[in-house]
Amino acid sequence: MNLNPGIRALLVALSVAGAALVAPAMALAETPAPEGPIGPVDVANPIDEPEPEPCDDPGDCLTNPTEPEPCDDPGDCLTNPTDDPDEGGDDGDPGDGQDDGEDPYVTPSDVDRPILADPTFTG
Amino acid sequence: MTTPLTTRTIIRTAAAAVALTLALGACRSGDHPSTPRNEPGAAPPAALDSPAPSGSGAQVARSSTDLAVFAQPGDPSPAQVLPATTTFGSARALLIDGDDGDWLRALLPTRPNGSTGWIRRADVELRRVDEAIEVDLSARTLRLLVDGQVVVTTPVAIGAPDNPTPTGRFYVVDKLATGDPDDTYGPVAFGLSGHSLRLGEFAGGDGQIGIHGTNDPASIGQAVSHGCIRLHNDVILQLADLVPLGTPVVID
Repeated sequence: MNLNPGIRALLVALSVAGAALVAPAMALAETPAPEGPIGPVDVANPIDEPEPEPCDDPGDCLTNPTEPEPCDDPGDCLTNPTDDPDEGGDDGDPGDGQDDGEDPYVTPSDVDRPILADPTFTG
Repeated sequence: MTTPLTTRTIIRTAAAAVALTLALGACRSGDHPSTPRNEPGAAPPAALDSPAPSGSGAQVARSSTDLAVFAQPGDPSPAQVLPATTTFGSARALLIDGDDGDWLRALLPTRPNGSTGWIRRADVELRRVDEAIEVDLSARTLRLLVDGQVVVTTPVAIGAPDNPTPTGRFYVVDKLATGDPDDTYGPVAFGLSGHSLRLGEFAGGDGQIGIHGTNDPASIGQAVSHGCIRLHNDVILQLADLVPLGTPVVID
């Protein structure tokens, strides 16, 4: 191919510059895309996800950990992480099993089993 | 041979390549908008509601050792010492009806009915009993209440006119299994803290009154006993599963 010296020099320069610019572009293409949308951001709700729904079902609190309201059922502490196990009710350990406002030194009484004996009551 | 590639075409291509490279370089530099995320754990902690306390039950003192009973708080020596168990072997349980700091006033299972004494709080374990028994002598019925709610109502036999069932506030001090549903006392008998006002001795005992089953169900509803309260056997078995030692018993 017959090219004049000027054009040949230009082509050589462009080839060198092109190689230098294309290499980083290829590396960039292999870089994982960053998370999140690219574009204008809603400051009030940056990732534009739906707000968590209120939890009406106490048993659903485990699967809805953002549930802001404590469940009403004191016995539901295991499935409702927002319930404090020490907050009362006969909740068993790790709480003390006491309701608020009651003497913490008084434990609920177990039902004693009858013992085998011959009664001598007044009959 | 001439090439179709003209100088102008070459310059346009080079310019486009440079523009594309600059655009890609800008993206690589991280100039895309940042996207803060809502972390679930970042939500403020939920407010905790305290559940409403349940009904206040009776306080019962339990002791596994001999228990000193004093006439007044702070007395230097006890007025009496109650053994760790009853004469039948039941664990010692005393119904508490007064509190003076380190001292508790207990209803005693001794004559006369209604006796009280003071025990040291440090000597006992306090338990809450939410059950209560009410006996209506005129209606000849017994009711079991749990947390103030009636869960059992049943007819009973009561003391005959010459051996009346004493009235007052007592509590369960014994729960005995006879081992025989056809026993005079039925399968189960509760000993109470009260005693007969007429009988100082009965069947080898000291006239302690009780609540028990019977081998004479036809007597239920009548005033025929020596002061005890008789129930149908299936009912006393039901109560045996619900009533702890120390359960208050009001007979009126």
